[in-house]
Amino acid sequence: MAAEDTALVQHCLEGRPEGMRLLIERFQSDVFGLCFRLLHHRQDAEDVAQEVFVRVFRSLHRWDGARPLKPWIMGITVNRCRTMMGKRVRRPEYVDYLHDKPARDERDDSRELQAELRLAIAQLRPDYQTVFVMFHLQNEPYDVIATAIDRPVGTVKTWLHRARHEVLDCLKRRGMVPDDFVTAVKTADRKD
Amino acid sequence: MVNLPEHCKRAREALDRRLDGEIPGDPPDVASHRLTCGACRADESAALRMVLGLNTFAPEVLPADFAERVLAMACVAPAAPSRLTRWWLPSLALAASVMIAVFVIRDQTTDRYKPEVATVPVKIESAARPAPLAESIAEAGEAVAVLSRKTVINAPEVKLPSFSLPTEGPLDRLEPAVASLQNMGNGAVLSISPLTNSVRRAADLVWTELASDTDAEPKVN
Repeated sequence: MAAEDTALVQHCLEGRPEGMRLLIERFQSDVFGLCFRLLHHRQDAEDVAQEVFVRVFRSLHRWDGARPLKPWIMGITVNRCRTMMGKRVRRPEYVDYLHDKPARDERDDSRELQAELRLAIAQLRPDYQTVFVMFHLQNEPYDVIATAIDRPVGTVKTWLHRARHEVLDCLKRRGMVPDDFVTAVKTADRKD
Repeated sequence: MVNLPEHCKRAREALDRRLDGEIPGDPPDVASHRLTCGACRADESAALRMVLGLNTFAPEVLPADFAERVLAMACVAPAAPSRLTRWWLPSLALAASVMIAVFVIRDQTTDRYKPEVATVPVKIESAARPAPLAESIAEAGEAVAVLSRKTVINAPEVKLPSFSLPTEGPLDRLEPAVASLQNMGNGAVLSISPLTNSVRRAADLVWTELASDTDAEPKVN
């Protein structure tokens, strides 16, 4: 992978459009996905993702070829998202769907659960939120997260555990966990 | 942080490890504890619910022209100057230094325009020589006594207290204190010494003002 990364970066540094396009296509889902999960706003996420790639191309000459490319790009993504979140502090919040309460449907409450999860994640402090989203929604391993946020793996684990407990507490508090849920799931598994 | 019982703490750790993907399920002792502990069972339920909920988050689809837009932006955006393209920086610095040097030399050698300031004759009226402090106090005392005799019928004779300037200087009075400071530790001396010096200077000034003959001309600012 490292050799592949180096060749790709070399193409980009030489200004070859096909190399640049390849780099974008390889990382666009991860970059945009993280932006969207952290910013909760599609247009902002698109803008920030574009900005991330422009910055990546500008700074490619500073990339350390001995290290994998993905964590480096994800680090730039996290930083750009933080900057955007900082700008939003001065703006009124317009992420309205976080406060939506979909009608409760006894048979299928997955939409309600999603909304509650979004709300719980949005209430986490920014560091915890980044770690939680990268691990649980982007499926990034610890080392990629650690490089991206520039913290040791131990810190990432601690933050992830705390973030997770806050989310679980929030779900319990808001009545999203029926008492017999585990039993019901286990029984359903046995029937399958 | 809530102090959990040992079994619950182990159950929570096991749940974290399961969610991290490190172990597939609870170890036997934790599993048996979870059967009897409502709080730990609720933790497991919440975790399972969370994982199911997170799995329903569909990946966000990017617009088809995203790569094109980024490429267009990347080509328009000015590239960061690389080390190779920064060759002109030393030249710029050199040019700037030469220009500064030329201006400085020119400034020193040429006759600059000096605006003339009109001289305005100012006559300073010298104030009357102030009376010595002791005389002023005595005069004020007499004036108070005269006034009191005028306002109070058969007022008794007011005897003014005699006033005289101290014969020994405040510096002499300070000397024992300074000497006692010398016997204290270095820390105390170093911390109090600046204060003492200030007091000495202030006292010296006051004493000079009081004791000096007032022949000096009044100062004009």
